[in-house]
Formats: sequence, C-alpha cells, structure tokens
Amino acid sequence: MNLAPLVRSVILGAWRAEPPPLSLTAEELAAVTPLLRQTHAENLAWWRVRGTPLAETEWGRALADTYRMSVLRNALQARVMVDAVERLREQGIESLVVKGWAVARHYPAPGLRPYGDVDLYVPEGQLEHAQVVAKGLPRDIDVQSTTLYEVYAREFETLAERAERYEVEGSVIRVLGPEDHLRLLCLHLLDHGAWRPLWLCDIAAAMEQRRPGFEWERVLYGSPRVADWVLCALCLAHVLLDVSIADTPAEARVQTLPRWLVPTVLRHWELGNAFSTRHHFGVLLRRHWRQPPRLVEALRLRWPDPIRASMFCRAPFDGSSRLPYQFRTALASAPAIAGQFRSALLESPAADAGQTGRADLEREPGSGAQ
Amino acid sequence: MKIKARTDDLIVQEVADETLVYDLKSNQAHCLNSTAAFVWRRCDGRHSMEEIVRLMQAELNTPASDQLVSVALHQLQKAQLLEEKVPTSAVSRRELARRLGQMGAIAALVPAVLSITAPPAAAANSVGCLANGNPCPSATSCCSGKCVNSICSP
Repeated sequence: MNLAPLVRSVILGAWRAEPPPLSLTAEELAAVTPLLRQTHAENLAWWRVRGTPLAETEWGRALADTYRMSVLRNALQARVMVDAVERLREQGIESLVVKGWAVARHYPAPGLRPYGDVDLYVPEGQLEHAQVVAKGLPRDIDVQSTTLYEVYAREFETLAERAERYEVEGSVIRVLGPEDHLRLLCLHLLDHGAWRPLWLCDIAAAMEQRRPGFEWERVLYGSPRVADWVLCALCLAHVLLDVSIADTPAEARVQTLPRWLVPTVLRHWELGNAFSTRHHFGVLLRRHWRQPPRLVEALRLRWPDPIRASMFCRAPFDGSSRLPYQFRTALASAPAIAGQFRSALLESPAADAGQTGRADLEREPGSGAQ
Repeated sequence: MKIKARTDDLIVQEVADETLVYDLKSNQAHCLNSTAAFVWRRCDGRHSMEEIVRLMQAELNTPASDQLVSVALHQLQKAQLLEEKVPTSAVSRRELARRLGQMGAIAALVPAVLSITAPPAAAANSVGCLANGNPCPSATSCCSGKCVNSICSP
C-alpha cells in the first residue's frame, strides 16, 4: 500500500474547524496511523475521523485517547512556556515565543497540534544570561538568538516590533508577527527536509489565518534566494494540501516548481520517522551494528535528500540535478558519520534496543516536535 | 460532611463534553464524562453529598441522582481526585446503568472516570523507534530492527 497519498488525504484540511469529509476505510486508517504517530500528526487523523464510524474502530478509539493526552500535554507545556517567559522577564529579558504554542494556536482545538519544545528568541546581547536562567528551570527551554541560524536570521528588535501579545495562564507572552512566523515556518520546513506532514499543515494553517494588512514584503524580505525558498514551501502547501495561493507571490512560482520537490516530500511521508536524521542514524548504527544489510539500509537513509542538500548548499530550487549538492552535503557529513561509526564500535549495540516510551506527560510528544 | 475535590497538582482541560484531568503527582490522566464532571465541580468544600444530589436533581433533572452522585464520588475517590475519603454506595456502574434503563433514562448518565493512557503504538521512544508490538512501516522504525507483517517484533 502506498502510504504517502493516504497521509495526504488524512491531513488534508485537518487544520480547519470544518475539514472536508474523509473517505477512508478502517484498513487504510490502520495502515496510515503508525506513520502519522511517528510524525506526531495522529491528532489530525483524530480530528478527521471524529464523528464518523471510523471513530468507533480500535484505531479510532486509540486516536481519541492520544488526542486527550495531547490536550493535557499541551496544557502542561503552556504552563512551562509561561513560567519560562516570566522567569526571563524577572531578569529583565523579554522573549519571543516561536513555533510550539505559537503554531498550535492556529489549530481549531486544543491539543490538536502537539508540541514538545519551548523555543524562545531573546536579544543577542542577553543570550548568555537567558541561557543561564533557562538552565535553572525544571524543563528544557531552548533560548536562541534570532541570528543563530543564518537562513532565519533577523534582528530581535525588528521581529519584536511586529510581535503579537497574547494572554496565557494569566501572563502576557509575545509571539512573532504573522509574516515573520510564516517565513520561519517555511524555512524550518525545508531546512529539515519537510519530512513531517505536520509542518506543512502549520504553514497551511498560518496561510489561511492571514488577516487584512498581511505584508508579503515582510515574509519575502532580504536575499532573493531565501525568499524563493519561502515561496517553494508555500507552493508545497498548495500542491499537497490544496491551500489557496491565489493573489499571493507564490501563485506564479508554482508553475516552475522543480520536479524533484514534491516527490521528495512524498517519499519522506512514506518513510515516517525512518527518515534519517543525524541523531536517528547514530541510533540505527548502534542497533544494527552486527547486521550489515541493516547498516546498508541505515546508510541509504542517511544519504542527503534533495531538499536538505539544497538548503545545506544554499542552492536555488531549480530544475538542475541535485546530485552535486547531495554529494557535497554527504561529504560534509562524512566526518560526523565516521565519528558515529567510531561511537557505535565503542558502545554496546543493545544499549538502545531496550528503550521504550513513557506514556505520561513527561514524555515529550517527540524529540523535536516543534 | 462537605466534600472537597483536589485542586493542587492537577491540569484540567475541558474538551467537548469531557473533562480531562492530569494528576501531576501520580502522572495519571483521567477522562470524566459530564455526570462525573458535574459532581466533581461541585465538590468545592461547600457542598455535602446530599446537597450535590439536590443540585443534580434541580439542574440536570436526572432520576436516581443519589445513586449517580454516590457512584461518581466512588469513581473520583478511586482516581484520587478528592481531598478526603467519602462514604459511597457499593452500586456498580453496570448495576446503575441497568437501573437507569428500567427508569427509561439513558445509560450515558452513568458517571465515568476513565484512565487515559497513551496507546502502546504511540510509545515511540525518545530516539524515535517503536517498541515491540507496535505497527511499523519499515524495519528501521522498530527498536528491534524487525518489522514482521507490519508489527515490530523481537
């Protein structure tokens, strides 16, 4: 069974209060749910099946339970976020909430969009102080400078002037303005190879919640190449999730989208979390150390995909072959891969095999479920 | 005796007709249906069991309110959502559903405090692999590295 189209049909419109009717069999739901689980998009499946006969199936009931847990997890994370913002504020550091809660608020029900991380932008000059404060907090808070990642880089003050204020748990938090946030979501999606369907839904939700006065210039500022990446991400939301890009700068770009782009995303969706990040690769190496065929498979998954390779090489998204970029990226990763092989040699191959999940709120909804 | 529900170390969320409660002390999650939630909300330290029964009769116009409240308190107590122990009747939920049926009332009124657990299939570990017994799309998804008939196997 080809699962990527099923993933697509399940998440289609799932960020809306009234998603379109879902045409799915119980067998298809059973086949696609594990994939959605691995990529933290299972609540979107629940949103689509609720109120249908599928909700009464074994998988439907399991999805309902997972959704309930997600509602509670997000509520806990919101507390964690507010606590972190307040603790920084006490130290004279004003922060901006990015991704996580700021993305989840676009969805029509609490818990629908799970998030495990609290990412906060702080002014460059206060980063060290903020990191010390964050270390003193009981949970992992990722405080970052707005210029940490080159492709997202923008002065804190520039972002702060368009930030929006929300009252959460009795505190005021600030999130990126809609334009800055959409830009960030697009670049973040591509930077990670667009492997999580949820990230594309985030873009879809942000796109559909644009308000009058939305400034496209602010989304597409600066380097034309970076602006083009943003447009390509918007085109992906259009092609794969039917998000309207009429009367937007992305409208023209969709006609010239490189042929490798959409198939790459669908391939990732087919793989779920088997898509190999550096961290995942290290785990696979240790796990399959004595099984050469599995090692080969792990290595194959580690081969840079066209999207990440293009982003790594800061390459244009055009019709030219991605192979040179993929080789360059692979070459650049070689020392890290060699290091991982060395580590795998030294560590027990069984070290990770016994790990199982924790079903409580302490378990993040997934490492990096931003 | 006035009954008081726990309020500390709890995360409470209301979703549709359910009240979801996470106990930060025990790491247990519960789902209260509307009857159980009605009773729990009125356990504010100002109402006794008899008063809650009267409130239920007045506000929900339910038959057998005394039994509904008693079963709800029993369930809430079991879930450790009350501050103190309260004497409750030994009527089971099944028996209560039968009695309600005889009175022409719907079984959905029966109070329910259900434990929620993330289903095993959701238990991908922190490095993103699935434990044995979980459905899998490929061998690399499984901690064991074996995906037999789409199920992670040892």
